Amino acid sequence: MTPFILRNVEDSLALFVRAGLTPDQAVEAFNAFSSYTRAFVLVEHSIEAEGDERIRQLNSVVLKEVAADLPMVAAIENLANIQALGDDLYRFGLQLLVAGLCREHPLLQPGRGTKSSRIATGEMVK
Amino acid sequence: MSPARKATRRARGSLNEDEILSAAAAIIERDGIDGLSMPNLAKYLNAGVMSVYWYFHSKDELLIALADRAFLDVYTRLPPLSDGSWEEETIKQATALHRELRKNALYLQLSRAYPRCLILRPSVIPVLAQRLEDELQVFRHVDLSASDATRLLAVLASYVRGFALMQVGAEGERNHHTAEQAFEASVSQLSPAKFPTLRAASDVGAVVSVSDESFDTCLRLLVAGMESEFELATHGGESSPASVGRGRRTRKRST
Repeated sequence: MTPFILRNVEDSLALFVRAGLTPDQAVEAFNAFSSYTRAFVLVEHSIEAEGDERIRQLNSVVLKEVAADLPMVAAIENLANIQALGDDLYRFGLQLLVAGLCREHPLLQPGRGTKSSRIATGEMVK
Repeated sequence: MSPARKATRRARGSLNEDEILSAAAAIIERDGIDGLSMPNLAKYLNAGVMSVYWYFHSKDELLIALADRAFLDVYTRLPPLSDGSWEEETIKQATALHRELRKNALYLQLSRAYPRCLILRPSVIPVLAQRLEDELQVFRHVDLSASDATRLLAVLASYVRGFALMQVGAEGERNHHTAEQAFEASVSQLSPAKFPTLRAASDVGAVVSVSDESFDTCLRLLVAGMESEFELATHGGESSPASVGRGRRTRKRST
């Protein structure tokens, strides 16, 4: 474990503690953000690296056909894009995590100060 | 080839795709992915190698078909959706998907070795679409558009699949030291004055944990975030049906 990484972890944990969590709660929160990010990126990069546009197009055709019998699926806007991952979806999930953390720990409020905003944008965990 | 060998070879046309895939899965279980080759597979099936190539033109094609089958196997083992609250159902289904992925060593092994196997293919789309239809039903009693519900489910699906892959990777890399123990050892060398938070934590190894408990914690926070961000009602079954699909949004903050 390099000093740089340890320093980065310490700073991230300290951010949570300054916001009102105990060190153990900060560890749990950090692990959740880290787990989400690594898991998402692992799948996203694998698919991007090996992605095949032809398969995506075929999938869209099949999806459109089967959606004719599936009313909920048919109601999805941009049906062709539901296979896409990408930064937008990643940040969406990250925002859910921030909101979930704030819900469990009411002392935390997203956007309260520069550093909280940095969590919300993923700057502290990416 | 010897006459005796020729005599034992199976009849032409007696192979089928499913049998080939089952044999390939058995070889991988016994010898790992590297132990699988088209000649080995043919030998295992007591068939000519060209007979195998007739069904699968390459090992790559065979592995992808195998991964698709394993992926579908995971989905067929998921519990049916019930009429519980959306939070209970979301956590139950995500946990079940994680559990079934973890049990399906073949799919995880294939996905790690051949990332192409992670790409959803036309053959699995009908099953996944039906599953998505069922999952969207979970949100029918809350005021959420089908598109937003789909994004929520996409976040969860990516997280669950990626976490299961991380766990397999972590298990594969372990020797006598776990990542948690290595991290704890590194932290124990740090100055409490310069690294007060790390030194104050009682279970600092949890920073790098990929345990099932870590999985559950992140899942719980994601679901709590969904409830908070979309102001979703906590109980299903009382309001009028089919809010999902009407395109309504109640999200508090935009991304």
